Amino acid sequence: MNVWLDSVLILVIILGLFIVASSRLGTMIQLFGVQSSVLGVVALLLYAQDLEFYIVFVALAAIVLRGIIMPNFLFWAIRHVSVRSEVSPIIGLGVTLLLSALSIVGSFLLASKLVFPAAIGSELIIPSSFSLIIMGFILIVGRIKAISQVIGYLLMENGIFLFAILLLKKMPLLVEMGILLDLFIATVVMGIVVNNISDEFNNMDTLELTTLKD
Amino acid sequence: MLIFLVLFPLLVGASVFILPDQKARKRMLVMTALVHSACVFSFWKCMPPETFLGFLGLDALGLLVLTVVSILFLMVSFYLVGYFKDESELSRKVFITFLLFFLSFMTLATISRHFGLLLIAIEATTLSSVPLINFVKTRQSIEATWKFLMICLIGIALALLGTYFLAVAGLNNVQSLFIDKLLIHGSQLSLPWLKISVIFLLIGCGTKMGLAPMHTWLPDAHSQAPSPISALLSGCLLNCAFLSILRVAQVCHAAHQTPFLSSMLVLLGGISMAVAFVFILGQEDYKRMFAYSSVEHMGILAIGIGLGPIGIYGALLHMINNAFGKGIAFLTTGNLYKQYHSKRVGDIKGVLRRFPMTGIFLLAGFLAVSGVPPFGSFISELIILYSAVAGHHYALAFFYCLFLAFIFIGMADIVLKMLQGHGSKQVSDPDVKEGMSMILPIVLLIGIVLMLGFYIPPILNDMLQKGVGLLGG
Repeated sequence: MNVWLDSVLILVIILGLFIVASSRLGTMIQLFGVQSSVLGVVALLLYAQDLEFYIVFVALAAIVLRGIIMPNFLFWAIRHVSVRSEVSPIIGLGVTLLLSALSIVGSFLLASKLVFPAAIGSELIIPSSFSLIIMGFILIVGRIKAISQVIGYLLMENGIFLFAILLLKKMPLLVEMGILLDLFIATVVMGIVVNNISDEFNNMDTLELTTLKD
Repeated sequence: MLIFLVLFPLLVGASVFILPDQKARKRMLVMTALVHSACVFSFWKCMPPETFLGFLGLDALGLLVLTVVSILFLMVSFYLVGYFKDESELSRKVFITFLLFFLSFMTLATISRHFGLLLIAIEATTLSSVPLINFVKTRQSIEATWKFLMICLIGIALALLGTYFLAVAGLNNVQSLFIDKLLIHGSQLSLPWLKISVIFLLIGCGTKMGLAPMHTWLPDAHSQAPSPISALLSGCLLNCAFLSILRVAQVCHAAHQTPFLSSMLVLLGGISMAVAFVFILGQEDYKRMFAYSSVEHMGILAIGIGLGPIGIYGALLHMINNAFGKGIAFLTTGNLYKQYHSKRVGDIKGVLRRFPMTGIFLLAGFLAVSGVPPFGSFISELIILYSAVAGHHYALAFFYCLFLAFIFIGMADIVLKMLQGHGSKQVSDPDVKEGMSMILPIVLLIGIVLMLGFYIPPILNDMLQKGVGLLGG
């Protein structure tokens, strides 16, 4: 069991690295969808011994919402955009990859300092969750396309979800579902605003969003 | 009753969106606001019991914030009746729908007794205010909306992570995120996890509250949103975020970690006041000026909470004063914008001569937000100063007074330039008269803030004391 769980978690991290390192928006969205579905599988594997109905429910909801609907919606948001790759990111791809690798190291160090007060299925869960969060941050800061920043935010949310999986049995179902729903609506709203940006500015570079300042 | 208070605006909002009747929309908005306020006032007579499996409940802190939200929303909904005379029908429909959703989620935030639900509500307020801020759909407003959305969502994501850390802190004994349970078992929480959770929650909720250095969305959103929405953002939304920080403070008190939180709050509050001071000086956009004043006042609230019982009393009182003061200020900027079609300070001169009513309101709004007697904000700022001096924080008290004085001078410079002088020729709409619905709410708000300067009703005083008690006074 543990071997499976560990290898799936390593897959999640590698997918994260792929997302961070790719410059094509379409690829990023697809990889995000795959990663989210894999996270649903993590939830199932972690609680495989005593699978309860609502865990399956949350895992399936995550797979359907994050893995299928959200990526399709993001493709909708950029349907009119002709330039579908990051031409000149603020932080170059190589540097991004290096920073992400460092973030993984940092996450392992941080996780070794914070002792989780209960037995967990795999030692890799907390470090992978932290490193996904940091990778999301790097994407948000380092890219100029609005949709890349959305993907950065979603990557961060994936990291938080990975951490939340540990607490799945402690959280009321209502709260879990509320958070999933909120995230989904947040993605929809961001997609619509991205759409507005690309309509109004003819592209979706956030570098043009600089008229408001003091 | 509490469920009704959340669901009612939600349902009315949905029906506004569906129903074809165009004339009824404004009436439905005002009616909803009236019903909401009536319910909230009935809570002052008797507190409603916890409902919905213990997820919803009201305590003194929640009731204070809820009352502020409800009154200010009522005033704004009156104001909107006049403000909306010449907007297109469709945009008005979407606008009113999301305005009611916004009210519903803010209500949910004030009455939730579970940290997860609280964050869901706060995130929902962010999402429902997006169409409100992006109402005019210009390049600038899209930019402001994007910054608001991105920064606040990241903030809430961090707060969510903080909430999960809080759950881990109590994994072996509390096993729950219900606020009441956390308070009872507070001393058993695992300290390292509690501390990291408090840091994340403070940064996350502080982003939403507009504490510097996470405040960068606030001036943009406040200046680009329609003025009534700026009033709601400043008076209601920021206070809901403030409430979530109060909840964190409650947990910290129960875990005997108040000094840890206090030092961070005072630090962030001080930075906020300094940042506001720097950007208010010579500010060219009058709405941005009031927005930075919001940053300043959120800083004052944070400092007050960090200073112990007297400071907490002052901060809770100041929250009320500031919310209504900001209501006056931003609603008046709505009148100004209608009359001058400009947000630039340089385009506006001689308001007192040209539009005496707006001029007086602007003056009152400026005095109310900068804490000049006889307005209530003077009293509450004085209480916070007293608690700083009484606690021997002389350096803090010194800088507090210094920033308050400089911000007052900076704002006075800008506002007086606008008020005095002879009416300029640039006025493009000399015939615009303020309608009754754009005067009355402002007059009422001025009345409330003035009253709080002279007299604090015993029932309010009791509630403030109870709130201080909840935070460990």
